[in-house]
Amino acid sequence: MNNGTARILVVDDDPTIRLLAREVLERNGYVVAEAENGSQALRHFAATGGDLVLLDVMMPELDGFATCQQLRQMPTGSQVPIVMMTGLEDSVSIQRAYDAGATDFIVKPIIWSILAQRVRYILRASNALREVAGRAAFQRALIETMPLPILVEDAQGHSLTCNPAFETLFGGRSLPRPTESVSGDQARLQVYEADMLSAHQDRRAVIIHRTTFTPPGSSEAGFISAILDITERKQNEERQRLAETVFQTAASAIMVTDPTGIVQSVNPAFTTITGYSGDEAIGKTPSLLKSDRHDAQFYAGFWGALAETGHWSGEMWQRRKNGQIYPAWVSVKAVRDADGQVVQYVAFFSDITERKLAEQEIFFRANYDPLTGLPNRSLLHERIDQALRRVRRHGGGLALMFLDLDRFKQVNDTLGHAWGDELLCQTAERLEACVRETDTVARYSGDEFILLLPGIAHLSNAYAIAEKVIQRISQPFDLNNTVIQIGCSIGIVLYPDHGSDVGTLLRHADLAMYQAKTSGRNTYRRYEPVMADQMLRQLSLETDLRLAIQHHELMVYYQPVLNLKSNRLAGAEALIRWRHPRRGLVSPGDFIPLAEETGLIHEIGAWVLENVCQTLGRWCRKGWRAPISVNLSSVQILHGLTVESVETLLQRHALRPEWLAFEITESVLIHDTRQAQQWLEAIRGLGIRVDIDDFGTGYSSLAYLKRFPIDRLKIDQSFVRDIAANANDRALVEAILAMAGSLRIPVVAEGVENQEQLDLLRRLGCEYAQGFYFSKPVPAEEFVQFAGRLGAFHA
Amino acid sequence: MRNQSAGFISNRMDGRLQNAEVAPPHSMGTEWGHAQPGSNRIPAAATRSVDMTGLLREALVHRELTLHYQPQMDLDSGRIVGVEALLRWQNPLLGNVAPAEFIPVAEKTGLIVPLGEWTLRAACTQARIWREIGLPPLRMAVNVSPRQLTDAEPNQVVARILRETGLRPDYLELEIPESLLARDDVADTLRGLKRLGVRLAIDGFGAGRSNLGHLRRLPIDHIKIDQSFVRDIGGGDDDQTTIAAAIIAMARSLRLSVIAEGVETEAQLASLRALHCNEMQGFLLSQPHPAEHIATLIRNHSKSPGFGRLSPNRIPAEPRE
Repeated sequence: MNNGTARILVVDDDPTIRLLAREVLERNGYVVAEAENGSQALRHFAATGGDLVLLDVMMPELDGFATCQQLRQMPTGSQVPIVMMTGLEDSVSIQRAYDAGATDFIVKPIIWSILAQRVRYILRASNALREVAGRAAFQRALIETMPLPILVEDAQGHSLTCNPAFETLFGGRSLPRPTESVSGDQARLQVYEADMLSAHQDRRAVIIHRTTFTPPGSSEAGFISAILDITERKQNEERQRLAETVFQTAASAIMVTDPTGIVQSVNPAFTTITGYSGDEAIGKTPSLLKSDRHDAQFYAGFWGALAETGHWSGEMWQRRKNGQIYPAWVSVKAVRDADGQVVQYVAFFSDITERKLAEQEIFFRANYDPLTGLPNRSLLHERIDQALRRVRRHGGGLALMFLDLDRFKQVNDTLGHAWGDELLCQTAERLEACVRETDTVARYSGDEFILLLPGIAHLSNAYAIAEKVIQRISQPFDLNNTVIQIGCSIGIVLYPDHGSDVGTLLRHADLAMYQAKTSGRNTYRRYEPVMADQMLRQLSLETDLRLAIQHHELMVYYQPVLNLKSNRLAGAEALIRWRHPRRGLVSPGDFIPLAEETGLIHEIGAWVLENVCQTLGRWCRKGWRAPISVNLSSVQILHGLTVESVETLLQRHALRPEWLAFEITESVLIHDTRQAQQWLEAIRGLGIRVDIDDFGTGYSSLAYLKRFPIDRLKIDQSFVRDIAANANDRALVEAILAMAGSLRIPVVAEGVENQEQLDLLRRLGCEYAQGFYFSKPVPAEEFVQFAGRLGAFHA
Repeated sequence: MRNQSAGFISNRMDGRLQNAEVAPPHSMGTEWGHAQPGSNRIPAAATRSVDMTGLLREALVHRELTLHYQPQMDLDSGRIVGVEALLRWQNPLLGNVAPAEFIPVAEKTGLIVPLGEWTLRAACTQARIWREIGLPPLRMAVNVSPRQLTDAEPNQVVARILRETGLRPDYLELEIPESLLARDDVADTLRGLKRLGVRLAIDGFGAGRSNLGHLRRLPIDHIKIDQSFVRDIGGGDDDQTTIAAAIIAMARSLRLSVIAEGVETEAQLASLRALHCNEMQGFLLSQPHPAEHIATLIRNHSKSPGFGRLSPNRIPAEPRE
């Protein structure tokens, strides 16, 4: 606005004053409007405004003071300069004029020559003031609308003012001071990071820009601070750093690809696991790791799941840079942007070789026999189940064979478990060689094996396989350079002929095997319903045998041994008999193997020894002076019958050791165990005689006859029986006698039944004999009578 | 003789070997080393057996195998009545390999079958040649290994070789390891061989487990007493109570002739004669020699039979191996 265009409203009820004012002002370039009273002035101002009002104090109706007041209340009138015209010396009026809002005053009578000057000055001052006020308002608005919190403090840190942003975020909080003092030029602007509590009690990370200023009218500098809240940025940074650390140090391999599958980044674990460095992997596709273990369908499923659900996880075979295939646990996730577009795929995977191995180990332990490596009972049941399901669905048949090794227990007992284990392993190998790939050979327990033969529908086929198996198992085994010969008994069942479920089939196969065993071993039998009855009988025999001792059903019989040179009684052999309440006399051949199998032999053997020693004691008091020989099972010798217990027995019955003799079989010697040798030497050391029973029926070791302390050989009755008629047998007996003669070992011929045999034996130089020809085995009382007649007792 | 037939020993139970179970194979080599001069430089057995299989396979082709023969004498007449054919293998890399080393390898790998057949053919050819050049009748004893009897068809092989070489069957004696008699399948084979007219001997009798029944049932002609028992006699104690005596007595009862192997001293010889042993073989009589030396030796001996050592100064010096 310039003076030329400034519009001045002259308000006075005196027309002269108005005229003169107009005259002067217009001459000085102002535009003048007139009002003759307050009301008119107000109306005019409301309608057109004005840049300055000259207002007379004394007017009718609305006086100058009231008019001034009302003008000031008008929106456009608050800032307009109002100059009141007062009388001279009227200081009361002057004061009232200021009170009413007047800007200045002029004293009447007006000195017209200076009015224009006065108006110009007032206008200029007014313009200046308006400008200042506008700028201040602008600045205030600027600060108030700014989202950046700003706080103004005095030098003591008292809050002077703040903007709404500060009020919202940090209302009522004071600012942390900078930690380091700054000086010099930099002191004007300080920038520092700090933590501060928000109005809502959150801890915020902030950057404070602080500058000093001196407020108008103050001598002390205060501070203006702008506070930048960087909490979000800090958190993002932290997250970023964490992610990077995880990426770098994760044990899992991490591979990030773009949406087309091009590898963008990999972590160190990726390199460790796959062997590919970052440079080698980046830019390639994950097919770098592809093994040929999965078919197209697998990968189709993989991509399908990724597309549909955005993630996939599972086991996958991968290939390392060196070509090695390994199992990996893979987890892939699609990363999408806000629009749902896939921007990346992130794959995590770990090498689970160890876990796999452990799983396999667990699986193996659960399903396989650790000794032989064959399927165990649990896996067998599963396989049979599967095979049965297949047969039910597709027809056909299957065979099960229950196989038990013959004489295994002997090997185990005489040679030890290590040998037994080796024998089982070799057996397992042979069995596997006898069957097809599709068949299963399982170790059922101990020395029992099961053969599962799917597709065998006819007994004749099963028989052929059983024969092959028996033939193979009967071949000598080489255990640590010792030849061992065993055999096996096999029970055969067919599905569906002999049972319809696993349990029944196995039970029946077991029964059939048992039947094979009892019918002479090293043979096979198929299941027949009557077997169950036989089995029951066998079981009841076992039960009965356990009770036989308590029920006094066992007895010891005695058979005399004659000296062929002197024709005198040379002793007797004690023989066990079992008088079964229903079955009558059961022969030792029927129950001793059972006793050995069940371990009852220890109890029975001990009973026999005790009984014989008792009898012997009684007889000795009547003048009996010849040895009684007692049969010992190899099981007894190697497990149970200690030399000490024998010694105790002799003492308890006050027996001289030379009145007792033990008969053992060659099998005890043949394996040449240190244990057997020590036992024999200790027994001989006590003074007890040791005879070899059944000589010539099995294998003999000539070297051991010489080495072991043996007192007599007993020729088995099977050789003696046909000695007169069969030249072979005669030659054999002759050979044994010749050999024993050379070794100075006396020989006892068993089973002598007639005079002819006796004559022949005598002629061949046999020294002792026993048999029906002299006496069958008889109870003790009868034997006393028999021996008495020969003068073996006091009269 | 033990050291040459040692290849079979692992297949039978031998008391002495049993007790020496910790001893590595080369210690056996030194124990029997008198027949294998310089054989104590045997390298580690394991590496050798790896190498050996391949080398042994080639040995047949490259004629590295030869037969030596050890005479057997009848103790009644003092005549040389037979020889035992014994394998020798001299390999450029391994040097002299003892049968105790390579026979088990051959047995394990199955090479024993062609090896055995070669031996049989070579021995029969040699026997035939000796007949042709006018040497007194000599029985040719050849060792048979377990796999030869079970894997191959020994009857056909023997029949063919006899036909090819024209040797009279009763001049051939097959030495069967005792342990094999235990096998049911071997009995038929032995009967078949017997039908061909060859003689059957049991090698190393008594050292392992013996079944007296087999001696009667099987068509055995001859028993070879294991040399471990021969060692026990002639030592001044009562020979009548030795196992050798027991075996001889038993064999006489069974009408089998007995030959003692590994006879080394005059005292042993005297004892064997006293025990009525039929024949003997061993260093006392002669060590094994190549065929040409044997011919000379036997010719000389037949001019003046006797029970002493076959005079070495009457045969050409044999290069020591």
